Amino acid sequence: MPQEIAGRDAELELARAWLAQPGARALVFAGEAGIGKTTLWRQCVDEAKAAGARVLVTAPSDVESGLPYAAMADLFRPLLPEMLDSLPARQRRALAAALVLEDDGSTLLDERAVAFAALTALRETAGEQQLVIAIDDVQWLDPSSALALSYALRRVAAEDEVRALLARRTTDGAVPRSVVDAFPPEQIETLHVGPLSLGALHRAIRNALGAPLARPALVRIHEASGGRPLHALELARALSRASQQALPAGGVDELLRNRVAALPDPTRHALLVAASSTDSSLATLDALLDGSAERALAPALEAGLVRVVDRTARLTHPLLADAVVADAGPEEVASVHRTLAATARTVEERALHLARATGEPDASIAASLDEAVASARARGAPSTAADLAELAAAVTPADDEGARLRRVLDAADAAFVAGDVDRARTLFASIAAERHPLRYRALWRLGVVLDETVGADAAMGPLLEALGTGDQALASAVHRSIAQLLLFTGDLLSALEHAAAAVSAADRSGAAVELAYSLGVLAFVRHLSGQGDWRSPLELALVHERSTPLPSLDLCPSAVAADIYRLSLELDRARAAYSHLRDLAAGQQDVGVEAWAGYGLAQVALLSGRLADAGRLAHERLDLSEQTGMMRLPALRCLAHHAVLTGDVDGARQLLADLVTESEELGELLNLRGALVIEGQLALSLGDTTSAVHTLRRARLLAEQQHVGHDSRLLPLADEVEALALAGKAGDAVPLVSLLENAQPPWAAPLAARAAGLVAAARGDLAAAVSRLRAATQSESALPLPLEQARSWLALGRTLRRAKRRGEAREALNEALRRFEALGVPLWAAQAEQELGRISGRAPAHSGLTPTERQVAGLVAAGRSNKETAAALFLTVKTVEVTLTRVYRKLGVRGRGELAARHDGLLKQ
Amino acid sequence: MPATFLLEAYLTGGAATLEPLVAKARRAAEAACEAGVPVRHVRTFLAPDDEMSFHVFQAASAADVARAAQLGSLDHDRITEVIE
Repeated sequence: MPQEIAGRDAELELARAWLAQPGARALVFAGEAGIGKTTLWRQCVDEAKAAGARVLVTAPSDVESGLPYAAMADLFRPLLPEMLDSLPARQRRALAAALVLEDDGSTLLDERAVAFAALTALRETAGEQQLVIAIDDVQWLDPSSALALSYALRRVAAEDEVRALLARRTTDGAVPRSVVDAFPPEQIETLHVGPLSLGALHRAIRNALGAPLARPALVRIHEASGGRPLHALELARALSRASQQALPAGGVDELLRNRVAALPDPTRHALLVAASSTDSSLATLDALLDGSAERALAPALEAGLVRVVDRTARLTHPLLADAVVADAGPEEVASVHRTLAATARTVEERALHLARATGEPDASIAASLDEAVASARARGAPSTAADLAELAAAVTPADDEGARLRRVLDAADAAFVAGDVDRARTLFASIAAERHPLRYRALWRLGVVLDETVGADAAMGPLLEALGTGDQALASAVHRSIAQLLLFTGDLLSALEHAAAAVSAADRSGAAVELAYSLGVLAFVRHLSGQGDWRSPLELALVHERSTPLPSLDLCPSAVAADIYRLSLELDRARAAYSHLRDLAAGQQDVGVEAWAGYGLAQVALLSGRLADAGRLAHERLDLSEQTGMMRLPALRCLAHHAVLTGDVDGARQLLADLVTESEELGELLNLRGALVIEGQLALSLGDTTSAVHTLRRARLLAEQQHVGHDSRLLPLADEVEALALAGKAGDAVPLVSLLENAQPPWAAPLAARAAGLVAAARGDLAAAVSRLRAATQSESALPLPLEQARSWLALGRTLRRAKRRGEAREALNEALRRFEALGVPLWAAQAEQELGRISGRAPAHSGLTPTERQVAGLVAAGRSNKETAAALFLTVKTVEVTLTRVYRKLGVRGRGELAARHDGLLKQ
Repeated sequence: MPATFLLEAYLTGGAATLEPLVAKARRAAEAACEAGVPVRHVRTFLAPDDEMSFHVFQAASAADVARAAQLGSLDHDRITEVIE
């Protein structure tokens, strides 16, 4: 039966409507301390449970806000171990490690892996029941739980029926908004819980204390409490006990301290333990109080200062914890924290209690906090690690400045990993301003942060200053950062100098890790600039990588190798390198690198013409990006490219439209350029040369603006030349042909030959055109891209036809058609067929059906549904429907039955 | 000799109008009279900002007013004797 809460009829009505509303997502009770949010929140929790929802509850405290995943552990506890068993193995390990249920030996857990696991856990739990995540005092949510939960809540679908019920204190310092903002603003219902009226307050007091108040007293209480019911109750209790009618000068704080002071010593001590501990369950308190928890707490229960909910002792007033601590005095508080440290379950908890046991600097406590920092980082809680590191710095003795600065540096690094770039920048800058050798490391990190957040110009100053260090390992890392920055700005020669300097410094330092990374970067820069041997440093880097555990997979030698091989079109090696990297990343729970390696594999499959693999990989990329929120645009690009190649024109157009819109909105210019390149290819393969010219030009200008590597521009350049030549703009294509002819990689030569041939053909010099195009086909082994090879044959055949050399033209065009059909690229095959048709004047074979139309017709005629056909051909259902309409029209049939009969006839032909 | 009493009540559900409250107070008094407890409703007024209503009754005692309130389902928080 729903309870009455005096003065909250309107709020309860709104809350009940929210509970009953299908598809409602988040309800937030917001208000000051003592205003009665928790009472309303608790009422809603009870009513949600009564309505049959599964409710996961946590009420974090100030004490717990410093512990990694404390709230998430609370929420998921009732679901263990079944929930963990339902997760895929990798996610189970990540979640178990984060919640300290298992030690999987990971050296560094990625917080994204934990967030991903939390998402799966919520989805699995939602199942048939509505799931409510109920969090009181969300401002105390520890940052790692906030991050994981907001990630998960943002991604559960409306049909998963997961909603959040939150209570948030306002006007009390910074409020972590990440959980509240997990939902789009229009899905968040906020109830501002305001002060009670005089009448409502009177009713609340009468309900609680059983006796009414005289109006003058009621008015004074209303004024003194600001209409906050919890405060008002305390004041009313005090007046009912006191002989005078005056309210205490110290207000509610003084009243609570007096009430605590009036309790027996064992009770006051038990309250202090409960208020100081992260776990105030009766079982834990019993262990800490020699089995006497319930007896000790009894007077406090009777006095209404504590209540027991789900076998956990909870203080009834938000200001009570402060009152208990103030009453106890510093010595007893320190003693309790020392006891709690000794019985702590985690390294972080132990360190926090030790820190609270003393306000004085203490080297051993700082060392304990260092362990806690490492533990928090390993559990994928970098934000908590940053807090702990700053605390460690604060308790470092004054005579150990180096240790203090090192801890501030750790805090800054952890803040950066946590995405708190402002905090990271401030901390790094503070160390950089000190006269201490550590300033050089801080300058380096500051440069890296500035490069990512402001730009290369801002970063260069600190980075160059950091080179003043005498630490060669550090110097190597700085040179590497500068080389990478210069790569992006396009200053390849300077990048080369710094990459070489990085290797020299690493060599002098003897640090194998630095040597591995530096050799990899040197190889990459040499490859991109076309200056010097890149294979030797790359091979050496890979040798070092195999024998030296590297702290991060970002720009590790395997990653560099994969990219270099892909750009060099050594596709088999690229595939092996990306596969190896993906396995490494999966083993280290590095979701980001795993996604990136998967994307590389998809690109290699597309380039190799393995379209079935490419389709599968592209869909896997999209699934992963939808689950993790990472690399969505590159995943869409893979799908769009696959759609263009497989002839799914409608699907490709839709994907490209989405890609262009999203890229423009997000300012993702590299992804926009990639989308335009694919759009240009689609136009070219449909014979729409006007669109192709316009789109590919735009892509080229973006590539120049974004300093895209020269080799990566060559294929789109070749496409642009073809479009210009076919559109009758050969003059505009000439400078682009020069770029191709002067390009470094050996595989550019056949492309350049084809481009030159097309321009010559457009200018009417067919003899020269045939000569260049033949050269292109004859040197095709240098260009290991099956589609590009086939296109050269098409260009040759087309030109031979124009030159009225019909026999040779037919031969070249049949070769092109054979290759296009083998690859499964119907739009290009249709172009070859059209050209063949122009030679003989006959209608193309197969009744004018394109290869895709033939595939769809074949499957449907064999009895497959549209959905099954779409799945088999990696098309959308909509595309199958549209294709089928065209097939019916071309064959003059009206349905599947007639198609089946007609299809048999076609096969016999 | 009957005395005058002030009955204070919190206005549940927020804003209210005077007439229904007056009618309710009168019915409470009538119900008490029918039960043999003489109670007379004098007037009713509201303090909307405080979400409170105030009813003035004449009766022999505060207990009689409480009885009338109970019979008339007139929720109340306090009954005090007043001088007019």
